[in-house]
Amino acid sequence: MNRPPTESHRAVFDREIAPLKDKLFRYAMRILGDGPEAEDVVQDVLIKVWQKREVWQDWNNIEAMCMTITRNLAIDRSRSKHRMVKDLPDHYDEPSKDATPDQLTEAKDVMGIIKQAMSELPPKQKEVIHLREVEGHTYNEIADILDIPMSQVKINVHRARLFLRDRLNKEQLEG
Amino acid sequence: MKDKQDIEDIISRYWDGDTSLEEEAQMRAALQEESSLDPAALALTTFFQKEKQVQSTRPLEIPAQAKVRSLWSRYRALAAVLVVALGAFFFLQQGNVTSTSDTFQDPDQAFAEVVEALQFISGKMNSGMTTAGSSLEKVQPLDDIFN
Repeated sequence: MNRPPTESHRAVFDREIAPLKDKLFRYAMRILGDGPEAEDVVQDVLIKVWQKREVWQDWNNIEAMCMTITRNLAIDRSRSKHRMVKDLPDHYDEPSKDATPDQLTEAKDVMGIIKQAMSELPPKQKEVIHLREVEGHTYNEIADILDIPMSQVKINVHRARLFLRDRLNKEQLEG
Repeated sequence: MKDKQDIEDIISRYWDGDTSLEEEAQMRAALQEESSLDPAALALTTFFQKEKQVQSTRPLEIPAQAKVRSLWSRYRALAAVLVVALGAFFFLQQGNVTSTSDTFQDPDQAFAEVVEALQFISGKMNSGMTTAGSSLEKVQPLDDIFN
């Protein structure tokens, strides 16, 4: 039976876990490609983490653990629905409002190229590059979250960056 | 701020996946100042920085409350079935009371049943009064003492 929340658990939750909401959402979104589904995953993650509050002190890194749980739940949901992984919605790559019309067009083209290239990355590279570039995790943290050796993390980051650069250079040369 | 050679070295190692988070932050700052250093690196870092701004739009629910709601939504169908089943049970019970076997259509038979019942009650009352009377006789001395 669940005990009523103690002040200390509540305080830890508010200070360390609640602020991760957006980060967990972006990660779930990256895996699922669906906003409402990603929101559901985040809620499930928060419930699951809360239910494990008695063992929080055993976790070396609460944030990494939350990311791992998010990953597992998102992948489970993705598999159960046979969902194809998509990319983030269009409005997330809007260029600056101060740009000239030509710059706007060019920026949109560049962002579109990268977005397309991101969607073509293998799932592991896509997750690794997201955790590194968007969420700013260390290689060690990414290795913990994905449960793979750090050497594999570095290789995946390297390959993903090169793929994105090559695609960008190729498309811009052809454009 | 590092010099151009240092930044170029960082950018080179960035593509190799061999930079620290701190070096990547220095690289982003340098690229913002001089995009010609590596336009592809600038485009990528700009793209990822914009993605970092994506936020969840759903309000944060307190997990304890969410769990209660989740359990309620899971079991409310079962609760509804139980309520209906109990309601049906008591309704049928009421129906049984109205059709019991001690309801008589013949007035003479009913009168005889009533007489028999009253005689039974009367006998029990007489027996009770006798028991009570003998008990009162036993406590009479105490009554005399206190009164």
